Amino acid sequence: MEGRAIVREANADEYKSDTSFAHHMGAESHSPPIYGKDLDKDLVFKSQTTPRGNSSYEHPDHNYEKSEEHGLHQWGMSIDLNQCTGCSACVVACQSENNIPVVGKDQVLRGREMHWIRLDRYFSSTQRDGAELPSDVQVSFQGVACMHCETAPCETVCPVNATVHDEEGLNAMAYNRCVGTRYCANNCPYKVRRFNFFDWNKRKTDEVYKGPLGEENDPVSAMGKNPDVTVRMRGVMEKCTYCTQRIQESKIRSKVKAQRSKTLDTGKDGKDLVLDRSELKVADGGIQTACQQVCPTDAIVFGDISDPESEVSKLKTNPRDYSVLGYLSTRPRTTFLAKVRNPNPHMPDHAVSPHSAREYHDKAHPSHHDEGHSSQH
Amino acid sequence: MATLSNTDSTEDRPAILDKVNPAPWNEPPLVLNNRSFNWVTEKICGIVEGKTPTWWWWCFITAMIIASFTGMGLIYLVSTGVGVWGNNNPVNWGWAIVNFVFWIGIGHAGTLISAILCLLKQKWRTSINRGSEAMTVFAVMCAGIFPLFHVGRVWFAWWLFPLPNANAIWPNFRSPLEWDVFAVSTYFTVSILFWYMGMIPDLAVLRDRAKETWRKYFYGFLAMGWRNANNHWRNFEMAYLLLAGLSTPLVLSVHTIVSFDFAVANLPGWHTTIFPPYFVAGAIFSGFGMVLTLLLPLRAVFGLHDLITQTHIDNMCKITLATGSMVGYAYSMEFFIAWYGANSYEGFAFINRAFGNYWWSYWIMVSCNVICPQLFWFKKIRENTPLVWVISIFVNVGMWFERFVIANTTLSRDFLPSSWGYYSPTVVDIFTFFGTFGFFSILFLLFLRFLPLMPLAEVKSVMPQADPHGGKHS
Repeated sequence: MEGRAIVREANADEYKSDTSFAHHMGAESHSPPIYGKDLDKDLVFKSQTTPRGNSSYEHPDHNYEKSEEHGLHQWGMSIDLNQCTGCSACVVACQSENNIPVVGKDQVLRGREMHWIRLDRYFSSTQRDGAELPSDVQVSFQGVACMHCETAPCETVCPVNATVHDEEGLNAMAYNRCVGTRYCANNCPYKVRRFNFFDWNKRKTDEVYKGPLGEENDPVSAMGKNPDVTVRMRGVMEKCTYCTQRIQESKIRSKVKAQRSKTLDTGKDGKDLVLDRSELKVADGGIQTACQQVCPTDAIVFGDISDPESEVSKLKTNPRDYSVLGYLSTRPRTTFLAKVRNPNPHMPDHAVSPHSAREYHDKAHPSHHDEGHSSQH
Repeated sequence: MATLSNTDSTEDRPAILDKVNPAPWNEPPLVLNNRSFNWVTEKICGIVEGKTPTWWWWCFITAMIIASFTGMGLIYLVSTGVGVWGNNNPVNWGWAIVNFVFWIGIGHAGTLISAILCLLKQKWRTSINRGSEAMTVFAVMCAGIFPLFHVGRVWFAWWLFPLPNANAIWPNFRSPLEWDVFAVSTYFTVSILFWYMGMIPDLAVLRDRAKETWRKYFYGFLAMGWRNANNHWRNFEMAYLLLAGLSTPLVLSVHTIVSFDFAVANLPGWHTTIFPPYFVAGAIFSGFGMVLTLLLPLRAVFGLHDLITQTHIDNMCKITLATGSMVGYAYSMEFFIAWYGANSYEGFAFINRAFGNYWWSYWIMVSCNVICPQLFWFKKIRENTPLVWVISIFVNVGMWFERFVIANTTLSRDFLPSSWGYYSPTVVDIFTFFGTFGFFSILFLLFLRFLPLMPLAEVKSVMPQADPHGGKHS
């Protein structure tokens, strides 16, 4: 991990002495607070407005006062690195849910895989060099998909406004508008954007794309596609949508249900029927993203972070909660729960700290005399 | 030196001198061998009016063949997809953006010479400005190919223009790529205007000398009714001055905005405030490199030694030396700030630049851009024309690698090590870029054959014969 605080880990003993150890790692732990004077405001406030810290500049907020339905929910996700076993079920589920093309070995080797969620693996060891395989390797897994940053770096650089924020905090991608400059993918610090270098859907699945005159699949394989999700053509960017089709479906279902029950209760219909904002809300757990649905350990939780009672909101108040590359002030809506290891002290490869944490602290405080952090070594 | 020692003791010297004796300064003549006005006209017009030389045809055919590589590469690209290039996920911008910045950088010397040196009254600019302006216009045309065709759906590239439409969708005015559209198109328009307007009196000369009918119509049309009238000249000079004033900020703004493509992004190695001045210095550096590359052979082929003198070559070498040293300063300052800023990602990015996966490109860049031009400190080297030409080639190579280093080392090694990659160009990348040299050569050869290489009136105005006092200012 190059001594970078990407997957934040601690051993159980360290966790007991400092439950918020994840907050004492990464550049943001010793740089000015990103939320400035709004640091201690609750998650609901932070998600519904755009706190500008100590900046004197205004920033448009996600909630529009005049529109009743805008910003009804604020979507967010929490991924518990403690529970992730690295099984890759999320990757497969996402691929089939979102019509993500299989590009083949040759293109994967060229770095053109299309996965919207990927499972990052980092190996660490005390034995840094030497040709032999080290004996004390530790593996850290991290599922990474679009973080739906509140101040998304991809959005500002798109020259045609093809990637924009919606009122519910989704970082939306307008495929129709995308011309494919790929600037967004360059500027994404998490590198989660995927570009259609070829027309993956207009070729034989087991062949590379051969141009417009090449052979195409027979129509049967197209029937395997999810009809709720578009199929992207070449030259456009795509990425995780938080399964926006499922969000939309649930919102419609909740609205229909609320209308029906209110009609039955009040006898009103059509224009006379007015629904409250609260009645339109989707119940917590009413939406599951594809990756969340298949996760065998329930490591992924998705929901409305503007509702303080939702499961995801509660998880985000956990002291282990942290943002990857938080110092960039992208304010990702997907945050992670740091990993706590519980190694057996009698095993020969036991270490006081996880290797990745030791690497980070060695690099961040090379002197080992830093008072504020010495307790963690 | 002997006079200096006399003034060593400060008590002897009054605070205000009664009389200042300026050091004798022999301004070198800008046209050698006491040539007449007529000789200049015959020389420059002769290039256009003479029989087409055989070498011109050979060069033209070769250039056409080379340019066809770009044509074929682009047809393949548009029909099949950006995947025919080597771009991949961490390195989403490969050679295309490198080539764009390379060509647009070259396109800086022309306007610098014609606008900034005009305002600074640098008389030596007269015999090289037309050629470098032509170079500018053609280089910007080559540059424009790459950002246009690197997009995934080139048939929608017009969406970058703010055209009113039924969906009320506008371009994103916060995007540096959007600023590029305006910066480059403005620069191209003003450069063409400047180039063409400066040419009108010379086109009129060619029209007046023309014998064939097609020439009379061709140059007659282009000369726009120029009659050498006093009020024509008065308007011309005012317009020239205004355009020079208008172009001066553009010389600085275009590459500043091109540098924003990188500097506004948040990636380590890109997100630095030094980029605008450093890019402008680099652009002028590469531009003068290209002017030397082009004009030195022309000087030999057309026998222009009396017009493009050693003084001109000296001056261009010195500007190359100065800007090359500025670029070298910027390289070292980047490292200093990466250390001083104490951002570990930034620190890593710069160590990786020099010693990481693309170390070879970094050291090609440093040796070509920083070390090579230092040879211009020596007069012997500035007077060795073939060697100057070779160094100018190195400057061009070095500046291409500078953009390669900036774009690719950063993209291939950014924040998350899980997403690190490596970029190598494909054959299509290489051929498309190589072909633009052919495209550039076609345009430049046509320019040599059909348009006046130097502004006649301006060259004549800096000749000793133009001075009614015969050089005696008393």
